[in-house]
Amino acid sequence: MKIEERLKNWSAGHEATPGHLDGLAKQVIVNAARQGYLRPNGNAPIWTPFLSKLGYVLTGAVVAGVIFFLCGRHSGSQTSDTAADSVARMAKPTPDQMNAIRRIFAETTRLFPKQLRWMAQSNGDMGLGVEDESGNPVADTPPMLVRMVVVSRSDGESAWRPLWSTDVVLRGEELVEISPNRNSANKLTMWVYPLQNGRVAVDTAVDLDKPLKLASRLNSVVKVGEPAEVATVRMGDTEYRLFQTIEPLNCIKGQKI
Amino acid sequence: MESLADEHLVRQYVESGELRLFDTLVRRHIGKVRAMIYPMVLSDADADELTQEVFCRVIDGIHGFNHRSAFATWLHRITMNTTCNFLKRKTRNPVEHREAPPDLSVARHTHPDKTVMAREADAQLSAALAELSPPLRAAIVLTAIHGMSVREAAHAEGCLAATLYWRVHQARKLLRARLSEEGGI
Repeated sequence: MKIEERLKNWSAGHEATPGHLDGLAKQVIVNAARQGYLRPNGNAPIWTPFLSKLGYVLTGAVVAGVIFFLCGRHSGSQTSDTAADSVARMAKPTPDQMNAIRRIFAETTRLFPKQLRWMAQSNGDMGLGVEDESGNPVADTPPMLVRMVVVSRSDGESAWRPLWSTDVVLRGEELVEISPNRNSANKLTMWVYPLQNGRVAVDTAVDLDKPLKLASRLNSVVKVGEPAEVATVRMGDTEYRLFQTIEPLNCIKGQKI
Repeated sequence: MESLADEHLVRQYVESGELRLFDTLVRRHIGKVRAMIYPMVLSDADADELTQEVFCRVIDGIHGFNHRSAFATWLHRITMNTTCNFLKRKTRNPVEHREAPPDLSVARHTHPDKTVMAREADAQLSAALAELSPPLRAAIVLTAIHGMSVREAAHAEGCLAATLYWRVHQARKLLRARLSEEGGI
């Protein structure tokens, strides 16, 4: 047998199966998403401006905190409440961020119809939960964004600093368990169920390892769009607060996601 | 979308950013890319990892793709560069073919109906390929397995056609010698 013929036969015997290639192709898309290459409008990566906008929001909030502190020096106990309000606002996604997240979720859902279980963005890491084709199809319930933000402030500091933030998009009635950060053992468990009158039943468990060790669980009915303080922890001379906000991902131009 | 030429898909993806267009490109070429990588690295796990790395590089550089060559040509060049860089990184631990790969995932990738003799012949060829230097291996893989012309293979490898021709000749000679030693030819 000619050497070329042997090589061709050998190569054919080592070809990946269609199922394996399909899995690889999906992994390529997931990796592209993780590295910030999801570009719904082709002009700029979504998550980069998203993060920088978030940075502006946080910086703005810190500046606002300083202003509130300076103004509030004459108003006694009102200072901490006002600062807490500004921190709570950091936990609420802006309309631009919501639009970006809606677009990216809609596009990823089109790529993985009935398979996209969740999408998460946390401190620069991005992850997608894609169900195997042979697995259970994902619920057709409305998607919702759950934002969790941890802020910290040392004694003597006036401004709160953002420490960790995570956005998770999941569908109602879907139980999601994820490790949102690649370099830590952080774990999140979430379940949401939309109710009447703009309220959502929510069950979230946060088990953070980095940047701080923090475990918290919230099982409650919350109002959409209103940041809720889930936990307050003091370690040494630093205080940490965990906020959570839930926003529905409404349709884009009447198109159901 | 499936019927669109690669170059149209690339242009539309760059203009619109629709990930579905990139997904179509990936699915169209992923089999060929992996099939080019596997004979170079002789490991399913490495071939899978490098295949993903190739497409990461593609999406990273697609906005700079100048359409002076066919998309497939550009992709093959990236594939071979990525693979050669990987092999250079592994210089201290060169590719070693295992006679009986302990990796059970091989069964997932390959056809299960191989007889013992076919498996032996397969292992002989794998071992013979593993002994070739990466440039010689690339030359024979691109021409003999993937049917590229010497010119196309030279472009993918970034060398002169004459150099590529010499590498093919050398590779064929070494493979023939090695396989005849073992009674394979």
